[in-house]
Amino acid sequence: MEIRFYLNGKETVVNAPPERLLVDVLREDLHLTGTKRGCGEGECGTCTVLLNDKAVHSCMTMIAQVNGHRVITSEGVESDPRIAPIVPAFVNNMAIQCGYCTPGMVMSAAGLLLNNPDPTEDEIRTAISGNICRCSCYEQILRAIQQAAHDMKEAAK
Amino acid sequence: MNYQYIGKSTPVNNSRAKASGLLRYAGDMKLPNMLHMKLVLSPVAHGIVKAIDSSAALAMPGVAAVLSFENTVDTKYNRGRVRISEDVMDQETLFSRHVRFVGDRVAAVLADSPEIAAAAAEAIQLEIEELPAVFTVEAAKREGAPQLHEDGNTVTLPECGFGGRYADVQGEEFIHRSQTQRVSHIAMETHCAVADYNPGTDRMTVWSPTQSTFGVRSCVAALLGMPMSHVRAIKTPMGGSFGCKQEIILEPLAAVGAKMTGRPVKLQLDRRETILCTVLRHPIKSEIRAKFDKGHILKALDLTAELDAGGYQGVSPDYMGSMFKKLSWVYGVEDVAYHATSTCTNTPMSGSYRGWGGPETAFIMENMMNAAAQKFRCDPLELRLKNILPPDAISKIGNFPLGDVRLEDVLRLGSERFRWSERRAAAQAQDRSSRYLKGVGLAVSTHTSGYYPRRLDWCTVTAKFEEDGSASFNCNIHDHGCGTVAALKNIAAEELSIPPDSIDFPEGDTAYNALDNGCYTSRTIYVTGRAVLETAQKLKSLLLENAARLMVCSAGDLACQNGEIFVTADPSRRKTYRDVICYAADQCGGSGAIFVSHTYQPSSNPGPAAAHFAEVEVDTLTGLCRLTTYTAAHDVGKAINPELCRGQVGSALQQGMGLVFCEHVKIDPKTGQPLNATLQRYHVARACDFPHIETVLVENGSPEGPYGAKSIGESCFVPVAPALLAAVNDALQTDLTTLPLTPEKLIRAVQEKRKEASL
Repeated sequence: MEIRFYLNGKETVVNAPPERLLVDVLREDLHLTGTKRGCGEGECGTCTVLLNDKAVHSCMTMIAQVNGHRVITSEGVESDPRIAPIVPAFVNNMAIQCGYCTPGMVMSAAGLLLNNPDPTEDEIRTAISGNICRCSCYEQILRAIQQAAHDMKEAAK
Repeated sequence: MNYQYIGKSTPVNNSRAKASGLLRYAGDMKLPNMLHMKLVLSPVAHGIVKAIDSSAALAMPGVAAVLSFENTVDTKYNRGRVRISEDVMDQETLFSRHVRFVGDRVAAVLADSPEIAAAAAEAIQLEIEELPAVFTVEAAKREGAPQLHEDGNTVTLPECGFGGRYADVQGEEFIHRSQTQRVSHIAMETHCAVADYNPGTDRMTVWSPTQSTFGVRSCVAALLGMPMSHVRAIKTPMGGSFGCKQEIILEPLAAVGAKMTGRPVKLQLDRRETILCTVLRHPIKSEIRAKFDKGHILKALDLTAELDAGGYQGVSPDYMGSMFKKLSWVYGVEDVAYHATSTCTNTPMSGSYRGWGGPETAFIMENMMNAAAQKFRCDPLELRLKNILPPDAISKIGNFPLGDVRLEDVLRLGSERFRWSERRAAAQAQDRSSRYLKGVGLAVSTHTSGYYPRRLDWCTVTAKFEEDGSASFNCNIHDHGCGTVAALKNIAAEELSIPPDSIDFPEGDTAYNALDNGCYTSRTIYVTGRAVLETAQKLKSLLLENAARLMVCSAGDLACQNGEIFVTADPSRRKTYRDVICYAADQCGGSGAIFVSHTYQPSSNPGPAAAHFAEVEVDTLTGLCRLTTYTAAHDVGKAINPELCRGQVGSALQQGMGLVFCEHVKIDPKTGQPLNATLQRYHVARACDFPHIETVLVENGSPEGPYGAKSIGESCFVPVAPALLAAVNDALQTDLTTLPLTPEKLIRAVQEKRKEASL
């Protein structure tokens, strides 16, 4: 089946069985390996991407579901001015250690902030509770997302 | 001391690449013509594989080969062996005819895509004759129990200790039992290895997120019968280890596949496979007998520990020995006896987990101390202060100086910041009949900063200046993801006065590194860090010698700052590093390349003391616990990168919360089948489960560590579980000691307690 969608701002066409998982299309067919596979059942969040600006698990999303829609992966964050400040916020707040959860965490943060530009601490904690980071207790990540929220509002002014 | 880069919180290396998904982990690698390997795992807990029918698999288009014990070497090896001279038990083989647990490796398929490999693995038919199985240490030790190995199920540690007069020591005897469960490390990156073999040159290259590239090289060379010099192991970025990637598990499998087919092979496990067929934390049952004198001074200990090794002994015999070594580091007890066994059962393999025996020993000791305080009706903090060792004490085990281990400082500072007395008093005064009950707990500990004096420890570093004044360092390091490369870069940058970003510091690669022990036992900062510091100093000396020739002065007249060298007495006389490096290479008076090699051997191993304080609130109706406050005080000597130290503590708390409250790899007690080897059923603590935590760093330096630094990565995990458990026991006035504290268990404890109170 031919699937057309906007991937990181570019129109993209893939030929794949409709039930092929988005994570496999991204990683295997399109060589975008920032999206990770940590559990394959939507529990760990390492495969998180944006589908029409909402955070979804690409390991639970069939490629047919993205036909005609917009997908953003971690590789597309820096070139999207709406969410670009998230990357430096993660770097500067030292919210990154082994980095394996980071792309998914960044996408969950993007999904939250695009829909709720001024989240409370509880809302941030809830938004990233589907993403496991084993290298921290989320303290630095929380600060990074608060900083990103601030920087995105400033950038939008 | 004013440092330019030391003590500053700077991001881990490759942070931006990590955030934008551009860093390549082993699982992201694609080599031309690469095959994908899928393992075929034993579906039964114990049995003999009578036949493997791979005809259907081999007939599938895209399948290149099926590997099993029928067509691969059957050499027995030990996954924990780093150096070939290590005397450890060899029980494991690449593939098993005699399968010993659900998840034991029987065969593997190599195919053009992961999908084909998975389908072909499903198509393989196994004929297995089942054998009686044992799932607990108790059952495996029974007379007439099924034997997993020719040399029996159990390894008994020769009895060890000191004093030897436990029976004669006067004092009140106190007996305490603890039990911990099987847990998975849940590193976010599942295990992966990639191998490439060139039959023309007989050269093998293996890429993996390992803690010891030399261990990988030795294991692969031995199993494939290749000279070590023909096998190159390269460390890839590691998506977390916590011990699970310290053992050599997948590398020889990928390598044997590559050698057999002459094509590159990638083997990446999924989460279920990672839980079942890599390594888990040891289930341990223990009984400790302690004698205290009238003043509550601990006089003697007698500890018995039973480790469940899983299907093969692996590192377990060493692990029980390591637990013993960590028994005399906190309290000044005069008499210690230790008895331990490691027993094979038909369950997934146990092995290395963050702290290597330290957290296990601390769990037993600190639980005992907390229970003793409860029994003596004294403040657990006071009981600790009475019994801890002073700085510069000598460990009775191994007879080596513990260094400037500041147990009292961390207890006093941590308790002050936590407001221990106030919180404890509030918990004691609360209404015991209310639904929510609060409690406080603490634990104190120390750990290693290297191997000394257990075995020879050393680190060799080479370093060079490039002509533009940037620098390259090389040694056998393996960043677990916690930022050791960033810390080492900062050390080199500090000494050379150049930005850390201008330094290249690749990780372990056996083709370019001198032999090394690997990144274990929290030695990286203390040992490698010092080696890097001294190497940078040597490199700078060579630069200054050349600068002195160029500037016609003596090297002692010169100083370095931000990539420039100047005459101290006349700072207007200056040259850039680039000028000097080019001079050295171009002019006959120069030394040629600015390149040095240096080997450092530590002569100490100071303990990084830690004290953790927890307050929890237990909902007696639902049995759910909420962590409300947590303070961790850490004697790190000097924090090279303070925010990374805090990151380590956060991670340790998270794993400790899991261990105490929810993490448990459950095995069906009748069949040995795993019951929850997926993240849907295996639960870890999430972002919504944490309060803000406070980490207090004590920085009084140590004589030998770089800038005074000691270790942090494992020491922070050591006291977590006993501190949390003590807080729950304080809240409920119980003495629960079997983990995990599931809601059911807590509700039952509350009900029993209330029944007792009403009688």
